[in-house]
Amino acid sequence: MILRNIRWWLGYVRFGIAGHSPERFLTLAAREGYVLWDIDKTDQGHQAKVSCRQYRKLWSAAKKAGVRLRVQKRHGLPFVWRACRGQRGLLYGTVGAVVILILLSTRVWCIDVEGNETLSAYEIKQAAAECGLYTGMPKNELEPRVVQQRLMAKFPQIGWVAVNTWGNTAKIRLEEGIAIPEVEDTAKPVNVLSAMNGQILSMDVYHGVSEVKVGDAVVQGQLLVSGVLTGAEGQESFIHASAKIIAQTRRVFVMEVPLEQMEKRTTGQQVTRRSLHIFGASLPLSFQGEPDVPYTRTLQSKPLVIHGVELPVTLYEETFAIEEPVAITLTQEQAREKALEEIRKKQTEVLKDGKVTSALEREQVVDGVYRLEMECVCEENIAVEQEILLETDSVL
Amino acid sequence: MGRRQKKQSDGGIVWGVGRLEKAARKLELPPAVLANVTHMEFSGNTQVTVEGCGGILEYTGEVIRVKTGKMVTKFSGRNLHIRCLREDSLIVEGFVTAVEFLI
Repeated sequence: MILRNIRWWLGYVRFGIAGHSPERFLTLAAREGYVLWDIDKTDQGHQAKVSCRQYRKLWSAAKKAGVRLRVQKRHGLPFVWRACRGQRGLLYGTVGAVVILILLSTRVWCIDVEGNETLSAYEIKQAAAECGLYTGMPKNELEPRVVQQRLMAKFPQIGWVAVNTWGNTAKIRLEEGIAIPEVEDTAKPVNVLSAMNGQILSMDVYHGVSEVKVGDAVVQGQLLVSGVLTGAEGQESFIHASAKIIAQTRRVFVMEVPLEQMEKRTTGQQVTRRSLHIFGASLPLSFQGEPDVPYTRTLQSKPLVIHGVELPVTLYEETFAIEEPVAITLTQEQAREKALEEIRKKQTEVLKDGKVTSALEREQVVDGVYRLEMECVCEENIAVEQEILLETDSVL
Repeated sequence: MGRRQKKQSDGGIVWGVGRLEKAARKLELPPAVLANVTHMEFSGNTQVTVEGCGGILEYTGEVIRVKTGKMVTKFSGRNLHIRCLREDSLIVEGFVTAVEFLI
C-alpha cells in the first residue's frame, strides 16, 4: 500500500513489449538497474510497469533486445498535474480546500453545553471563554482539566463538570448540585428570646425549658425558652434551646411616593445592529454605532443549526430602543398602587412565613408626596436565638 | 588462494566460492552469508523470491526459466507472472506446481 502510494506520487507508466525476445529485454533492463514490476504475459504480448523517469532510459535496452515499447497507460500525480495544466484554478482550489480542511480541523468551532438547569448556556460559555475554552481556539491548546476546575470554582452550584472534544466540538457536560443547607450548630448553648412585642398564640418547644405560656404578652428581648437546665441536685447544664413561638404582633409599614416623577419611556425609535460571528471572528453587517441618547439594549443570537448540530456561524442582532425622560404626574390612585406594591414586598421580606391578619390604612398627601401608613396585626414567629456566654476560669 | 581466483565476465573477481561454502558450513552459517549463491524463499507455492538471479530466459504464463548462477531454475505452474524485477532479484507469483534445477 505504501509502495503503491509512493509510485503514484512519483508517477509510473504501463507499457507493452512487442518483439521476439522480451525476456532478453527484461534481463537487460534489470541489469542496467531499472526496477520493473507487474510483468505480465497477455495475448498481445508482455507488459510491465516502470517509473516514468526510468521509462525513457529503457530505450537502449529495447534496442539491444530488438523489441518495441509502447506506453499503454500513464498513472500518477505528474500526469494528473500535466492534464490539469489548462485548469490550474481547479487544481489550486482543490489543494486550497484540502489545506483549509486540515487547518479547520485543528480548532474548536462549536461549544455545546448539556445538563444545565438554572444556569444559562450563554453564561456557561462566557465563563468557559474566561477559563480558556473559546470558539476558534486550537484544539491542542485546550486543557480540559484546567477548564473543569476553573468552571467548578466559578460556579459553586455545579456538582460535576466534564469537558470533552468530539471532532471540532467541545462538549461541556455538567450537573448542578443540590445546595448544601446551612448546618445549625446545636452544640452551642442558646436561649430563645422574643424578637417583637406581642401576645403568644402557639408554642412549639423542641429543646429547652419554656418560660412563658400561650396567651402571655411578651416584650422584645424577653426570655421565652431557656437553654439552662437545672438538675434535681441543683447542678446546671446548658443546651441549645429551640422553639417556634407564634405570636400576634403589630407592625407599621410606611411608604412615600412622590406624585411628580420622571419616567423613561421608549420613543418607538429603534436602532438595530447586526453582526456575523463566523469561526470565532466577528464580522459587522451594519455600520451603526451605539446611540448617544439613553436606550435599552436587547441582544438576540441566532446560531446556524443543521440537523441538530450547531455550526460556528451565529447572527447577532442588537436592538437599541431609544428612551426619553418624561415628567409624569401620578394620580392618588396610581400612587397608592405603587405604595401598596412596595409595602407588600416589605411584608414578605420581614414576616417570612408569617401573615397579616388585619390592617388599618392611613393615607395623606403632603407637599406633593403621597404617604401610605399601614398598621398591621400580624401572626409571626417571634423566636430568636441568643447565645449563652459562659465565663470559664483559666488556671495558670 | 591464487589458484582459486576466477575472473568474471565483467572483470570482477570471485574469491574461492567452494572454500567460502566450506567455511560457512564449518561455522554453521547459511552458505548465502559468505558465498555468492542463489537464495530462494517460498511462500507456500504461490510466491517465490529469488535472490541472486542472472536474468530471465523464458517467460510465459506456464513456465518461467531464470538463470541462477551456473544453473537454470525452471518454475512451472499456472498464471505465473513476475511481480517485481530488480538487478539481482525477482519475485514470481502464481500457482507453482514444480521447480526444476537444470545444470
